[in-house]
Amino acid sequence: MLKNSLLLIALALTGLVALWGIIDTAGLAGFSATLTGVLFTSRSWFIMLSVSLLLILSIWLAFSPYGKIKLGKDDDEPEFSTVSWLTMLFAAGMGVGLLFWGTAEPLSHYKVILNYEDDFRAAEHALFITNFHWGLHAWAIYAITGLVMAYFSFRRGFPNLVSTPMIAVFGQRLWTRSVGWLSDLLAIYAIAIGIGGSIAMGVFQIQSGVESLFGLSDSGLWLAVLIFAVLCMAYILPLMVDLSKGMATLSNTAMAIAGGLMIFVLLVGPTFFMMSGIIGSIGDYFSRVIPHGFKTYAFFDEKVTTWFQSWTLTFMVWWFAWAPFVGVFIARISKGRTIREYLLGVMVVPTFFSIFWFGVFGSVGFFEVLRLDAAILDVVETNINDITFFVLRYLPLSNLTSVATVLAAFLFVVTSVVSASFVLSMFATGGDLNPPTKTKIIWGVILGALGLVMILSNSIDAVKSIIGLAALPFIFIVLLIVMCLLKALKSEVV
Amino acid sequence: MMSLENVIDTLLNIWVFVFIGVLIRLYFKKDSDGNIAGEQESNRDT
Repeated sequence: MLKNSLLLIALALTGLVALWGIIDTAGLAGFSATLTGVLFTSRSWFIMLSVSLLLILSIWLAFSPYGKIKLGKDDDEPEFSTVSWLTMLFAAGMGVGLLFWGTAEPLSHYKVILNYEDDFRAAEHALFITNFHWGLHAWAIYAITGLVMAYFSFRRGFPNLVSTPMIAVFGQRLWTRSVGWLSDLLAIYAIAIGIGGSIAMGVFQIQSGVESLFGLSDSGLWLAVLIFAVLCMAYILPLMVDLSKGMATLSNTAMAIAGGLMIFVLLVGPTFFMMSGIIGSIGDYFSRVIPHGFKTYAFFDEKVTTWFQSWTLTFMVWWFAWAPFVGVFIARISKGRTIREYLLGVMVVPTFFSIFWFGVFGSVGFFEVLRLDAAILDVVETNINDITFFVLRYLPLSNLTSVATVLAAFLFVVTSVVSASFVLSMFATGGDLNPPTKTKIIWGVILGALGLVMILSNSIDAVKSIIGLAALPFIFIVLLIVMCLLKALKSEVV
Repeated sequence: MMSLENVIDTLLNIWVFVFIGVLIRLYFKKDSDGNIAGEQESNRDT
């Protein structure tokens, strides 16, 4: 392990960020906010152009003759049935983020858009923007990163590393080795910070759920730290023993709870209103999604540009932070599928699921705002972590649904940290598919420390800036490896 | 006179333009000596 310089530097880098955050949380959050502000201002056009081009490229690849190429040898068959594969894709995309933002995001946009449009148009537009953030563009980033990994790993037989495409296409040269090494390091860094943010979001969500269930008001940091300690205990054990099948069960359980929650809310809430919202947003989304990807709000006032930076740009960069992690996972389960099947499955199915999810949880929020009262909008302003539980309290069996939400959030975070520790250990040990337990536990501890830093910041905005800063360099790496894929595809006979 | 903000903005964008240029140059570069071409044969059934 001591001979592995990548592992040591990655551990030192992420460890230092964690240490800085624990000693001076406000300092790290302020530094990240300032730097991401500068970078977002000058690079907003490049971020939007990149994600739009990745989406257009993915659609082109799916329908081009390259779509027939298999991610594996020509006679390889898919390892999983299509239904299992799609379920696992759901699980990958259905993290704690959807639970957290289900109602909170559409309502946050609504509050801003209301300054410029009528209330019903603002609701419609808020739902569109939310679907835009979680839809095809997000999944195109994951899909194309996973495609590069799967292609070079399963079809060409190279190790499953971010640096692989450069070395495979351009050979062992000084620049490919240096840039490749740096890419592996930045991928590790982006994953670690991204998962740290996910831990914090999960803890904030569970904390609000516990407060709501036990009638606690403003429990402060002690409850968050207590929940964090329980989470750490829950994920360290699976890192010590091989529980791959058990983890898949936990992940599927979390998925089933979340799916059940969505169906329950759809049935007991204002069903006609939600179904109308969903159908309307499907049409709205697909009619505007591609042009909207090029929208940069260049000529709008500062309020709009700040909103654009703190939402659209942050989310797009956030997907880049998660891309190496989710990409490796979806690549792993997609061996034996054609590029066409892979791209359409990864992009279209989760997008429809997200539209349904936000259609249900967003519409139930809008129902309260437009038909009853606006108290819910005050909660968006004062305690965004509580919004999911606030909405559930309007519906029957709210204690049961709140417990289900807390349980799903807990399981999502545990499975994410265990999987991320595995992927980080794999990257840091040169693509070893069975990394040493010691390395996995070290990563588990570092991820926990990063999560603690973000919890101590006690602000979801600070979490977003810290993740944004880690993920920004990764945009360049994704574009570089995609170029390698296109170059490699030229040698395929189709 | 250019403010510091403008200078930083210009430098950041120059980096982006240079990066895009390097990507295009690498894509069209002919003498890549990676081993993908050799591996390709073994992957095909025919």
